[in-house]
Amino acid sequence: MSTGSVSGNGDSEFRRRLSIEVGGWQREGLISAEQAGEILRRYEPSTSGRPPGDPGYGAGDPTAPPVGAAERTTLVSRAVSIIGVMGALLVGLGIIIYVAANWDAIPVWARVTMLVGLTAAINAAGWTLLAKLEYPRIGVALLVVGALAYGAAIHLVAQIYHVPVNHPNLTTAWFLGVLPIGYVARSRVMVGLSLALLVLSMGFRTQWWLEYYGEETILFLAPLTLALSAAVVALGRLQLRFTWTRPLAGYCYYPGLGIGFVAFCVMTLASIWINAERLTWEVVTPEYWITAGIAIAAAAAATAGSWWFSRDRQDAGLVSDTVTVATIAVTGAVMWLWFVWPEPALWWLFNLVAFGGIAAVAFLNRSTQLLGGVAVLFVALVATRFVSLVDLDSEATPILLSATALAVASCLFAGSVAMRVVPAIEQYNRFVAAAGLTLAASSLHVMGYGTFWRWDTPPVWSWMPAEYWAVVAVGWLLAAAGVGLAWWKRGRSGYGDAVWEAGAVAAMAALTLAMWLGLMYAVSMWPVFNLALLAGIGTLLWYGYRRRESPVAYFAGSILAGSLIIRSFAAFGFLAQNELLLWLGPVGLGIGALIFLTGRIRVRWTGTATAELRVSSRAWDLAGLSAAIASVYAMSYSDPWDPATGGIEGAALAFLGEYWFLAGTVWGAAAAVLVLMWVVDRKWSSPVRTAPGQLNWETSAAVAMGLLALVSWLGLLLVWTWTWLPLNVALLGAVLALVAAGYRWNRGDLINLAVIAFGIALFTRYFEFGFGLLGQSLAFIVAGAIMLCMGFGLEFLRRRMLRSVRIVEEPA
Amino acid sequence: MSRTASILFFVVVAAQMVGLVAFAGVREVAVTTGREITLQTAPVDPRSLFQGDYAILDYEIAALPEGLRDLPAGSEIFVELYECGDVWCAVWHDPVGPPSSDVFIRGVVNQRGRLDFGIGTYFVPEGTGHIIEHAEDVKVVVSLDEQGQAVIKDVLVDGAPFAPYGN
Repeated sequence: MSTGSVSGNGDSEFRRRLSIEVGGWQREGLISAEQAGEILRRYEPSTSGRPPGDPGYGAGDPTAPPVGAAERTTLVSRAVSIIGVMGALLVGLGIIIYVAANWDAIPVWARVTMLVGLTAAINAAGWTLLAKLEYPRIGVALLVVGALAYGAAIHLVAQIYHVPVNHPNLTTAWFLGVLPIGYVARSRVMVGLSLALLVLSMGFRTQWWLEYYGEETILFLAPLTLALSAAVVALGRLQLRFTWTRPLAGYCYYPGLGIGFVAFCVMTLASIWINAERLTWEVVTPEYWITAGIAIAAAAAATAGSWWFSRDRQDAGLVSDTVTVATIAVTGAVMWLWFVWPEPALWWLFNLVAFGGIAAVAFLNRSTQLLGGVAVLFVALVATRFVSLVDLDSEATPILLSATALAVASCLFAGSVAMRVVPAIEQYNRFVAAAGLTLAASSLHVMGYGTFWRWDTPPVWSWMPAEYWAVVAVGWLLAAAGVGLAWWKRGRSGYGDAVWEAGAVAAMAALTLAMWLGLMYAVSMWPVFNLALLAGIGTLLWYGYRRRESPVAYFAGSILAGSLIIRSFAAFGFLAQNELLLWLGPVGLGIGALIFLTGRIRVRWTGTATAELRVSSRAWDLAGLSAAIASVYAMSYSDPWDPATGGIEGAALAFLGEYWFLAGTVWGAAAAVLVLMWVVDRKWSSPVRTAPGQLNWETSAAVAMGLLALVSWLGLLLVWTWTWLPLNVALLGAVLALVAAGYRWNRGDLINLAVIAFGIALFTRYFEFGFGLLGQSLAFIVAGAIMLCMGFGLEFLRRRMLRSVRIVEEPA
Repeated sequence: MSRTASILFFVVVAAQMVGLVAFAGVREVAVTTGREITLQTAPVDPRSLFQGDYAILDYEIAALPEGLRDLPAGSEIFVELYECGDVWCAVWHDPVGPPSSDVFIRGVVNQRGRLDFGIGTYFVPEGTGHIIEHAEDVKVVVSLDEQGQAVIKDVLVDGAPFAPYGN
């Protein structure tokens, strides 16, 4: 189910409308047939917003006209949404802090009147902007402020009368007040907010569902949460049956599924069941049963409603929706029965139901997004199994667990290969493959930590329980069977031979063997796994380009980014926050350079690769530049550089191998891509000629990032207090350079990035400065108000653009 | 947006307002019409993210007598009160039902084996929590309704009503 809208769809929708409009103009004699053709060609998909023949993405000649108004309008509208919501949140937060702080001087009646009046006024203003003046985004932003103000009002009235903060009715009233506004205003943001409030209020209500909390009473919450999840899911699916609520349905049922899944995950852990024998029904209150009854009745009524309102037409989703809701509800009911005769030894039954349920939901709902989510959840569930499977007190535990994870990963991956020869499930193999590869990458990531390989006493085999070896053995047997099946039936599916896949499974097996050997002879093997992870990512990238499968390339890129980010924060967590930021800065610059250059080299493939690949290239170089600017910005404050103000004191990371390994990898990869780019431009006839000077622009940007990284490393190693000065100069220079590059290459997005970077730097400096002078809350309110004004101005601009090109509005 | 949507929107907003005023009204009535008694406390001082500073008030009458210490958390108890000097003290803790006497307060056994009366939180202006924390003696004036439900009316810090701004 697609609830968001992809900009590509917006473009094609725009072209569709344009062709209708242009046809009309031609019939009315406003324009000639040639002119009509000219106008339509201007917005051809391949050269959207550019004249025909221009390859685009900054590769074009500088005399080309600016990017299409349609594209720019989309950019501005997104900026309005972001700035509007941020402004709204700031004002809301400011109001809450301000009023909470300076409250007692005002008489009670005045306080209540103020709260009620303010909430009503904000809501009325939001509605007027949204419905009457047709400023949808800024209107919704104000409604969000209104919802926060309503929550603040409830909590402040409670404060006046000294009602404890955790009183369950407070958040429930908040939720009940916000939910209908979400539907009346048809705002996804507001429906999402109210679902978040529902979860919050459920959390607060638990104290009324149970007489007291204990390790074992938590079990009672799981079936009730499942009942509530069934109700939310059923109500969400019901909304699909009405045009009015259809866009909002996903914001209801996906959170519903999430709530149910979390509740269920708790039940699948063996450790939770240890306390099951002490369970007593006395702790369950009447409100618990009333809530459960209402939830089940709502789920049943909503499901019946779905059937009733679809009675006149074909609705393929009805059966699967009903099965989904029934599965959740029945699972809850089974749990209740279970509590009557708690039997901790049978905890694994819940695991069977969990995995079976996931498989059922996945195959009944033929929604690719849901399937992707399910694959991720499956990995999460498998991962929690490992935690409960091996409860070892050993320094090598993460490595030992990674071995099981690798076995399961290769089993999943080989399974996905085998799925290709079974037509019925063939289309799902990508998700299983992604799950397997993610798990494999996580295991390699974990095994690549140097700290896990430094132990005082080497691990002993006999520590491992039988379950451990069972998982390892079953995993590898299934993997071998899967590869064997794929090999046997090779050529039957459209995927060619299974050489790549068999090679990948063999590599995983070899790595597991390497790990065992390392453990056996107490050799620190962590660099091997880091190199293996990098090699794996490289292979995936290569596979993606060879087979023209851009999703594979994205997947590899996300794994690299995720691994690097987690690594950076986990490995250097011992540093103070200030110091960590400074040390991560040059690495962040390297990541930025790598992403930027990858984006630029993708532009060279413009003529040959899929449209999808081409469209996203610009997003890549923009993301790279943003990462680099963010890194410089993070290092540009003066305090962290100065030991006198609690900043860096010595070269803390100077001799840590992992840090330089990480930095070397990132910068080495960036340098390799840069060299590759030079080679491509000099030797290889790229399908698209790069414009003169383009390579210089890219190279100077990358070299500038490298120089900045060098400067910051020097500053860190020599503890040079003034390093922030050149970094700030560089930040300003980067903003100016981006504006210049934007004009030179006709790229509005570069200019936007420059403006946003400048704005954020200015804003946060303002906070730093302003917090000292004003009260915190006032600074929030002023900043939020400024952002709302900016949002209003941008919205005005956007509407002026809209008037020149008609675009179909999407709901906020 | 249609006219109906507009009407619906303002009905919802009006319902929010009515709810807020009703909430304040119910508490106000409870404060003004209940029976006023004073209780002895010993405060502690943490912080709430939602509502600025507050003091947690632990009451002398929250202690359970010897025979009732084994009651499970969540049990309901009615405490009969009598006036002992300038505060009210517990006469009898009754786990069965409201006592016949007319001054009693309803409490629930908490995890720490003490009674919770729903009057454990007192909100103060930001940065003034220490006044209560460092006070020698803190008493709380509460308003009791006929079901034994208590609402905080005032806090007496060293004998005088709590006034952080000196008014």
